[in-house]
Amino acid sequence: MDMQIGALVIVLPASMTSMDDEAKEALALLEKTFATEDIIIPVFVAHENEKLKEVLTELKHAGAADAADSAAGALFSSIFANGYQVDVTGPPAAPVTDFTVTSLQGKLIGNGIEEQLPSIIIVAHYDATGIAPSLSFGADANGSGVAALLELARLLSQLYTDPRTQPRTNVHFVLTGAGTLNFMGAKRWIDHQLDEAQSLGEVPLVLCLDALANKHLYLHVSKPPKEGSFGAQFLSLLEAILASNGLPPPQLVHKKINLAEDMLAWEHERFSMRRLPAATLSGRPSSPVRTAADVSLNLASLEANVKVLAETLARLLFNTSSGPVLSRGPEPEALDGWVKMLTAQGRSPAMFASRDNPLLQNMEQALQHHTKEASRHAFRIDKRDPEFTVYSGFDYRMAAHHIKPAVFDLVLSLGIAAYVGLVYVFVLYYDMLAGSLRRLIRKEKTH
Amino acid sequence: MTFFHFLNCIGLSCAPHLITYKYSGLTEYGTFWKILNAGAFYLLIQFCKMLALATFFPAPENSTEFDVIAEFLRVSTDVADLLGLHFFMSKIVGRGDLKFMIAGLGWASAELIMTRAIPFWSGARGIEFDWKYIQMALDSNIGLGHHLATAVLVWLYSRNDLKKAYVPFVFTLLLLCVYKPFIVDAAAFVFMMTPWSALMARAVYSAIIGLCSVQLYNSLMVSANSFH
Repeated sequence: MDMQIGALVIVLPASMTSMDDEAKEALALLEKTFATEDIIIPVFVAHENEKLKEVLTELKHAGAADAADSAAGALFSSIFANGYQVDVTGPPAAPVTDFTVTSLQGKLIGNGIEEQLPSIIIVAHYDATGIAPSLSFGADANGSGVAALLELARLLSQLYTDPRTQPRTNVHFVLTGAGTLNFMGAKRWIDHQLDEAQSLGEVPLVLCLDALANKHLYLHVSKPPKEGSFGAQFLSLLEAILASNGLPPPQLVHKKINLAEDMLAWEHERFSMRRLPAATLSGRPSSPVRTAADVSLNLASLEANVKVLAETLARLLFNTSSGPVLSRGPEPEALDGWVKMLTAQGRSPAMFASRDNPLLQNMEQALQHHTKEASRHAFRIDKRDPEFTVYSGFDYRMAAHHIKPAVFDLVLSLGIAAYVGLVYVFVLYYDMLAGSLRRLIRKEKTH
Repeated sequence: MTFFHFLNCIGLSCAPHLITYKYSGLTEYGTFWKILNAGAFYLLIQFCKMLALATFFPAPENSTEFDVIAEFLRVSTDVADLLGLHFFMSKIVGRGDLKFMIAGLGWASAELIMTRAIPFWSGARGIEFDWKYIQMALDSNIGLGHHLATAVLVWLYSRNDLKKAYVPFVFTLLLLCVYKPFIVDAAAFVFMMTPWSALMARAVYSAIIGLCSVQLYNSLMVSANSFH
């Protein structure tokens, strides 16, 4: 970063799925560097295409020519070599002033008076992050969580339609925004619920979902669940169901909240900080891997995990350890459809600044279909003391122009001057030339 | 430095025309307005040609192929150039060699302004460098020689003191002049020439026509002078 360069262009393969593990690791390292270090030059990320390949090969040749054998060769190439001038057009990146974080919620009301029944909250954040805002597809982190939550809403809502099968527990579904910005959506939502709305009764468990398309499952907690609590029951039910399905057992990961850190590790920590029993169910042991290369996931793993999770929650709601409670599992096409819709374009928090985002509308519609009182909650970021600043400007066009060095024009004008001099001499002495030609003809005639 | 490149191209394309005007004796005879007239005549002829092309010849569908018949017919409209030159020269009062110099120079200058001014202004001034602007400038230099040679040939054809044996020569040379774009483009397509080699081909072609026309002109002058 000490070199005098104007900008940096990172070229990614045309299709993210074709990246091998080494490339993915390099990309993850780059992403980590950009997230933590201060970079003063602009950095552009481009997918490789034919034209970019041409430019790169030409530059490589030009670079090789720099190491020419002779001084004359080097001089020649310094005058005549092809250079490139690259310019980038697009809307300038400006801080988004009225940045609102939208969270979507819906609930299933249990059999009885809603305020007196306990509530389980299921949470997943719908945004993602990557090396560039528009390269944040986040299939596993956290497209899998959103797809799982919506399928769970559908499956559990089947229990709540008939009063004979309706549990005596409410279930809230929350899709939070700005999860990649230190889980701010979750923070604002729970603060609003506890401080202003105060409509939540007893909350024995908050379950956050993050990166579920993996074989092993981990339950992350800030405090180990107490004996007999919903959290402990959930864990034992999960163990039993995974064992009965022949899948590896879940692991409990206890990590205390470290307030000295800049960023929290998991979403449940936001709820734990408000003294609610919370846990994050994830396929990752330590932290979700948020990378631009996360464009597809293992659908079979996701389906298996959602099936197990749905059955666990159903048994938890009825306070029973025998089952099966649910007759049907998740629809793989539904999960696939959600993941495809979620990964169709980038999902960085900045891209949800507008309320008409079609993805938000689709998710809200799904919640409206299966849950009651589905609604949005928009939280505006305090302008005077913002926790984060989000910038607009996602897609740009890069144009590379062939240019010649400045000396080239001078050399060319010298050449043109010489040529024009020749023409001048020719025209001036044309008569002389023509005359000698005529004399030649006359000589031939006389012969 | 790209404005500099624009100036380079302007210099390269205009210098021979200006030099021809100043140093070949045209200034002594007050020919400036006549040259402008020639330019205006050129515009008129081009306008008529464009009307004819638009009306009678359909636009080519596939621009990558070389449709022989269509191209041949389109270039045939350049015969109008010959007629225009003839008509213009018959209107000028003056010496023979003055006539074709005025006509040729006027034609070439008008063609230079009409076909090169806008590409240079919009293209050569831009950031991107392309060799084609230098090639265009050199092409207009070749055009100068070509139009002068064409004017000489038209003038020779209209003279009746030309030796009878030479008349078919003049006629074939005139045909070659008219069909030069067609022949050179066909050769470039067939041999897949680079732009520079096509430029060289055009230069050689025009040079040969020029030399032949100079020879024929000299023979006329000699035979005219031999009366003295």
